[in-house]
Amino acid sequence: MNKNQLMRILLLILITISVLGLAAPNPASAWQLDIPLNQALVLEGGESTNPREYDPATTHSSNHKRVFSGLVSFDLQLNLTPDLAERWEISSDSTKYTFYLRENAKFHNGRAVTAQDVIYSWERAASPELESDTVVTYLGDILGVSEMVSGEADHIEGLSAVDDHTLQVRIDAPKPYFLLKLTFPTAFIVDKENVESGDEWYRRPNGTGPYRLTEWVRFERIVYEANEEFYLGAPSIPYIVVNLYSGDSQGLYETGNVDITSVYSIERFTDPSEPLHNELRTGVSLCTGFVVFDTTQPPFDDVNVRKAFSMAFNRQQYIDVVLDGHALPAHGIYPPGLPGFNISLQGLPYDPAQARELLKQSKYGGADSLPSIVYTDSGIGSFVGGGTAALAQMWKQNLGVSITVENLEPNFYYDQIHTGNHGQLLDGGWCADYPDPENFADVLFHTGSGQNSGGYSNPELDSLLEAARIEQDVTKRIAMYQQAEQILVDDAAALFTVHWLSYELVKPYVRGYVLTPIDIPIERYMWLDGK
Amino acid sequence: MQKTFFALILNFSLLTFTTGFAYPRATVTDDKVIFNFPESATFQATITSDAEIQSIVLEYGNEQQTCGEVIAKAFPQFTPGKTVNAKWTWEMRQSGSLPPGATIWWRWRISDANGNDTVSETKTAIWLDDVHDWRTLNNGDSQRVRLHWYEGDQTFAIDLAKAAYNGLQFNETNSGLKAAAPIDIYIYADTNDLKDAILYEPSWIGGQAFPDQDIVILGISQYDLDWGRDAIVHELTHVLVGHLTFSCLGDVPTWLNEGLAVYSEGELDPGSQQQLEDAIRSDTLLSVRSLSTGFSEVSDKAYLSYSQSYSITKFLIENYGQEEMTSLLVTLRRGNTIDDALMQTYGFNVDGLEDIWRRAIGATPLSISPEVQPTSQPTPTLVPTIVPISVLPLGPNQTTPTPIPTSTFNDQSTPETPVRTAPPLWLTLTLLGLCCIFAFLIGVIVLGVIVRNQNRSGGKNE
Repeated sequence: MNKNQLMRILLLILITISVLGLAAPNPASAWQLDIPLNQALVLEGGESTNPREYDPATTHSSNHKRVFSGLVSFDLQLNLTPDLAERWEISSDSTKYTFYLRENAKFHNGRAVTAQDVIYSWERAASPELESDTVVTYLGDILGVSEMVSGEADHIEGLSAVDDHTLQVRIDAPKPYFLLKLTFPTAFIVDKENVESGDEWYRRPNGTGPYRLTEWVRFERIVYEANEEFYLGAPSIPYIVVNLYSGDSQGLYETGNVDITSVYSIERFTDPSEPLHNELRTGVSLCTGFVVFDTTQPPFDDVNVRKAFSMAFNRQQYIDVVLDGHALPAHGIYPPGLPGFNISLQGLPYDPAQARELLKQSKYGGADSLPSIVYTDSGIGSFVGGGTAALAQMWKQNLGVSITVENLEPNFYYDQIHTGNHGQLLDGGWCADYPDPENFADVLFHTGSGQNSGGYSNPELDSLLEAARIEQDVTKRIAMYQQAEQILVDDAAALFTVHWLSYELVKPYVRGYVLTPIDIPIERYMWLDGK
Repeated sequence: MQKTFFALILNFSLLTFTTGFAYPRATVTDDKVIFNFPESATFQATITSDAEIQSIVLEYGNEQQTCGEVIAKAFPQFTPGKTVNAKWTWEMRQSGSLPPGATIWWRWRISDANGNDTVSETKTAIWLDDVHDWRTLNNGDSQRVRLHWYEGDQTFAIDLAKAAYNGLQFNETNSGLKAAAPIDIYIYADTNDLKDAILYEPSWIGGQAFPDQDIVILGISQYDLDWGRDAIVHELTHVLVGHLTFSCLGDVPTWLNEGLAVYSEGELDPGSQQQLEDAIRSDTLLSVRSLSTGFSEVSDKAYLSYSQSYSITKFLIENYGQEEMTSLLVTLRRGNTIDDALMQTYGFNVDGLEDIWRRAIGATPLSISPEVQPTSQPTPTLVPTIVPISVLPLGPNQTTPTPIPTSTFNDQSTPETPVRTAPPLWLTLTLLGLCCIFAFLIGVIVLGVIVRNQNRSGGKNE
């Protein structure tokens, strides 16, 4: 999942708090809605004006896990668990999966979920008309998906419905992580009648998930109601209300208008004398921030330029000054906690003198001979976030290179990036969809991957990643991914910045909350006690 | 770092003016922006070309201090054709509010099927609510401050302008802060009008400063001039601090920024002073470090935060001098943390400041033990140990028996779901015992029957 989803929210927060206020008394505004708020989990959020972000087949976020669901999912401890599929069988060569769907699994309108619904959903995702840039990444192991995406086939060869509740899936090779990929929304099930009901079907989705979307007022609120017929048991919390653009979420939390919020005033809430300190939850997220070098464009087609830009980056100052010390340094692509994370990894050091020397050794000969450099970010207007500003300053100070920042409209950011409409540098970042290093090294850097937005291509790396995909010995497999990470670092495939930490405030009456390092649908595990 | 500043022409409707030139390949007409203040700005134009128009990009932005050149791009949705109506809306609720008086610029970049690229004229407009009849005070010091208002007579405006000039003078003399560019001050008739003009304001807002755009907005009633005079100085000070400290790599902690602003107003008002003294007496002062990144939304706590910030800043200025304060701000601008900047300037860090300031005002030392006291050094972060997924179990009849363990971390707040995989041991043993007794009794009975039958047979034989 791309980190920019999160960064967009942070951007809004930063803009909001970048202006300075002066105290003057004013009564708090009233809040009205026709549902009992003591039975609702109330949150603050935003919305995209891009319909593709609400279609499981094309989305880049995980927000859809309330309304839609798939064959498998993660529990709170990140165990892979059966979901719409009650169980499955795997052939002796690990290339054929037989999924048995739950007899009681239904869409929100009461219609039973069948194997044909799975096939419809996945073939729809793979249809050339939909132009999904995630389908090959998450479903591409299934035989025939690539052929359908490219228009060479009109169906997915590897799918067949044995009966209404039995689905057979054939994949191209024994890949240990195949089931993990099915937890991403691309593999979620949609209702054909619902999808074909009009362009705005996503605003009244007929999903299979634990919550039904019952009201969506543009830029005002989205209301979800518990799906009493949910096949894994009805959720305890009857309603979830997401107020859209209602204000600064942290401030709304303090005044009792939301139940959970991300925190930006970290120093304040980590202070034990702060009354809300005990409501603070902290943890890691399996995320890595990085700057993407477009290796197909000058000057980043030269490894010495990439190394120079990496070594002109003062990671510790970035963490201390921009992030107030609330992040971990990223020397490579894998975040701490992810299998494959190598605490001994030697990243490229901060060395301005060596960076300038490398720039001289490049085919461009130095800063003065570099072409104009555009840094593409997700944003609206002329606001530049602290992270981007710091990078610009460090490159200017240490290399003598000035960049132009290009803020692309966030609602259509991914569409533009996927079509190659971006500068030579991109604001990047990745959070694990599933806890496997394949989700980072292979998805982000294998030649031709839909998420390889820098166009990085290295035959040696590709061979290694392809071997790792089917390596059956877990120790060897992890070692191969660590080797892949070293190649990425040595070749300066990207500038790795930080691993973000998570800080959340949670009201005491919200029970069962777990700050998971991967974004999973936790609401159905939660309950309200005394709200 | 680059700062661009377009001359502000106060028309306050949709007055536009051109600053660029056009390539003649596609024609752009009816090119305008329509404001739905303060929620959105819609850019629209009719574009005509001899060949089918295939790509339209809106390049736009707002004038403000930035780090390097910044160009925003939006992508209007349209059906390709030789004549296209292009439209895109800047949703302020998504981006955050622009300040009233901000200058917006835009141009269209067009590509057609013949491979021709066209860039339209760059236009600008002032983002301001035209429901008010804005007036501008013209006087001799407009090089530094321009005051705009719509309610009240000229005397009212002059009074506030004088307060602004006095504030500038005070800051220059006492804090070493100078205006690096003209500052536009917009006076709304009251805080309700002010709140109607911006989004996401705190509930207790009275004014806002936008240092990157040299703009201050305030809601000042004609009947609340005393407060207004102080408020105008407060917000101007934020702009001056912004001018001195603007940096692509550095920031000023909230307590220092707000402290300088309140300090420039003069003494604390009696209510705030009392609140501060109460907090000292009751040992409920907030820690300095906790005032670094924004204040509380809760008004009482916010007011105390302002008063404390004033007290800390006053302590620094009046004990160490104005030059040291300027040095602190410049050190922050150079990309130092507040701990390092304080250490370089005064020889102590935030924790040292906490101690020395509390001692100076007669407050109790921060009583939190060093183990839990917030410091600049984050505590080690615990990370989950996730077990890598291994090869899935093989075999033709293999079902999915149990979840694949991928993590060893756990959370105590997880609802405990009782998992019963086998009966308790005591029950098993009891049942086993009962079974044995039952089997024993059955055996005795069976044996008895056999013996009896044998005895009967024997009797007959005998």
